[in-house]
Amino acid sequence: MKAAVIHSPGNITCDTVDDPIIKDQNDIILRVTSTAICGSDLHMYSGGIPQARPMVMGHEFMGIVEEVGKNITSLRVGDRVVVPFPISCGSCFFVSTIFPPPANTAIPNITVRKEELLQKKEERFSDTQIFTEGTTADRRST
Amino acid sequence: MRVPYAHVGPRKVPENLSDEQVLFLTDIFPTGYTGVLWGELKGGETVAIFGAGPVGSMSAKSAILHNARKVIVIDTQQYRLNQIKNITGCDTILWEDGKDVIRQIRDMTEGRGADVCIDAVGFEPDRNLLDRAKAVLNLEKGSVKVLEACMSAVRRGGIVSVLGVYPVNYDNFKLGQIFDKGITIKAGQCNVHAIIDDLMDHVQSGRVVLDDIITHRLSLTEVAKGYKIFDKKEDGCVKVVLDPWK
Repeated sequence: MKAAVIHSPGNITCDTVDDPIIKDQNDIILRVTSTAICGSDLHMYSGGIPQARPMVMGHEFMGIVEEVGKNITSLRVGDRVVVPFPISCGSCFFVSTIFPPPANTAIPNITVRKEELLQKKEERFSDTQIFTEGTTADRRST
Repeated sequence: MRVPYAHVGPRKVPENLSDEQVLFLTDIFPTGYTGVLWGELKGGETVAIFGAGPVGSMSAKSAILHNARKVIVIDTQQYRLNQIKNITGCDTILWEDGKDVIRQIRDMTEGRGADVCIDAVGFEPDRNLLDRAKAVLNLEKGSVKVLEACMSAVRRGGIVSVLGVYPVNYDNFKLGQIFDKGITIKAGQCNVHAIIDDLMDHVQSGRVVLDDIITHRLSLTEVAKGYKIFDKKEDGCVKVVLDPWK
């Protein structure tokens, strides 16, 4: 797929990167129809928030669902969706006590294999890094 | 693009709404709106918004939705002030070095200061030589000048919402002023999930229009140009939308 990749401050190019695949059964693959540049993206562009390695930019995006993981019951292929930029697990302490879960989607009860737990932990960590949260393409900075 | 935790985030879009009508529900509208929510408006307040970029513009729209009596937007770029004034009818102040923005805000609020100030700029505002020298002397990155302006422009007992990004720490921070004036500061990233459904309703009902801030529609292949004009504030740029299929 095409992606806007930042290589160093001031250097962003439209590259071809690996197509995304479902890695977790709570994932979907989205065919992005519109995206936008955010002021917060400019902190990476200026070098104010430096990136250790090339990263796919962008966290304002929407599109058409192309593929859904097995656990996803609220969305179907072909649905047109808009995606909140913070990627939220929907079930941790902070979500359940401070931020209410979304009203229209039940949180599925998922059995997770042990080896997946480690991957989830890493993923949650990277998702809490400022402005890497929407970077769900395969090349990421953390 | 892979979207993790897709049982939590994505929201279906009504067929009658175009991409551009709803695209800013991803971030800048909920973010700008959150600055106003943190301000706890009951109606009739004065809201001063520092930054007439995309987030500041969304805060201005949100303050009007919450029945603010007066909305004042401050920026270094006259073209951005013109755009938000044309869209919302708000008051504007051009930030020029040496010009007393704080005094102007107090003059517009019977000397008190604004009830709510929103920092929609963050740690990388336009900086002059003095700002840069200060950062070197203090071993700090960027500047807190916009946040300091918010703290000076807000009335006693007022609220400052910090939407602009501050990723590092600052010494010499004016804690004394916060204590003296009894200021409440709320800061951080927006909890989009908690409000996006309400905001989708606002868009669908026509109570708010979001796509009128778009100045550039480019192909994803032109992304380098998009970043350059947005960063350098060239060609009247306020908001760039990219189409991956163009």
